[in-house]
Amino acid sequence: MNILNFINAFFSDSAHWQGYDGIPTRLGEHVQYTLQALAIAAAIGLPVGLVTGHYGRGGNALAFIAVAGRALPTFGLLVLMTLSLGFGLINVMIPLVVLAVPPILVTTYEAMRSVDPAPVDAARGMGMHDVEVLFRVELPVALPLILGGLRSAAIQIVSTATIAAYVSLGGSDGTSWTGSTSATTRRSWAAPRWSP
Amino acid sequence: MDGFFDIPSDLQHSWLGLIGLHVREAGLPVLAGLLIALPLSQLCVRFRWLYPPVLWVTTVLYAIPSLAFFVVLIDYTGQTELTVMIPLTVYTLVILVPAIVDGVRSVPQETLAAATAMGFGPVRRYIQVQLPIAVPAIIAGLRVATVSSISLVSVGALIGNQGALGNLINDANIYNRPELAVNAVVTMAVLAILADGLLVVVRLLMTPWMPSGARARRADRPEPEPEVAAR
Repeated sequence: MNILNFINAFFSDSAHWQGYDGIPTRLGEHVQYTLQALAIAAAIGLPVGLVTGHYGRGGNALAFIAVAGRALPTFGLLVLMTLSLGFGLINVMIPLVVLAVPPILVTTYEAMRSVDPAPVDAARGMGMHDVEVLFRVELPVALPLILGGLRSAAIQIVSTATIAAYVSLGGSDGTSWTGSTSATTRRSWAAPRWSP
Repeated sequence: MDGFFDIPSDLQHSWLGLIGLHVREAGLPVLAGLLIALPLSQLCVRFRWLYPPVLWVTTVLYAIPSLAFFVVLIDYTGQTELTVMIPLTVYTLVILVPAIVDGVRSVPQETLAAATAMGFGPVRRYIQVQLPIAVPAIIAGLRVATVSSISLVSVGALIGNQGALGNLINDANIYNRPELAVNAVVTMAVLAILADGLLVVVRLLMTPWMPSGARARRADRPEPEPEVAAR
């Protein structure tokens, strides 16, 4: 089957534009999952990255956490969470957060470490204390890199949130699962356009 | 945890067999990605204007969800390992190309000039001078690519038993046996960490001139996310 024909037929069918299974609902769900996971991951990754980067300690521990976070398979965690916690939002969030924390954490740490030490020294010489140095000198300078980390985390969440479809259909048999996901996932062709 | 290693027979593999399958399905894409990325990055270094568009294309390809990529490829390559390995190969490019380009570009001009003065041609200079100096950057890229590849293979389970250890996760769900999912997740994580450690050893062996011991800690800093960081 020609994929372009399929996309055209899929998007011009009005049944796909309304109701629970419609594109707006699913797109909203996707955006909602992404924003929630990103917010939780940022709430964990940013403070830890900022503090460790400010004091310049714990780089090796962060390297280990980053490798471990990447090594944990998202799909496996998703099914594991579903089997142990039942259906719900939390078992989708945990794998997505585990996926998103390493890039945020590592980039924030690296960004804080790469801040030019001269302005930091100058700020201390002017009598700023740690908190002021952190928020008024280091953070503004490191912000572009930190946002780059958030961005790569967001891209990974957007593209990985698709496999959350699996657990919401976990109970159904193989055939209906393949049939329905190919519709769901083909729909997610639209997803990359929203991410970069 | 009864039946932790009691692999359901529908997978037609033992636990070790699944590990072998997993290593192959994750490793071949990284090798293929490296073989594509090396000439591609050399082109990007040679023709500077080529680098931004190449980076943009690889980033866009990286943003395609793996599951969507698999499902689209089924039309062309069927429910085979190849369907899983093609997207993984494409995903490695976004990590490997910038790593190699940055590594090769970081070679100091005077080193290149010295090599030229010693009578090295462009090819010999590339293979004997630029690549060895770029090894730490290339290995850093390979580490991230390998680890994420190992974790992504498992999604192949969703297109019909092509996910090696991921099939175990699918079976855990079908037969309601959580211990199988624990087994798969732990095995994959350990595989990824072992592969990561192996690459660190390879780097130490290939760069004997680099400082080792306490001073090498600096080189073991967390790798910045190479994919789209600050671009």
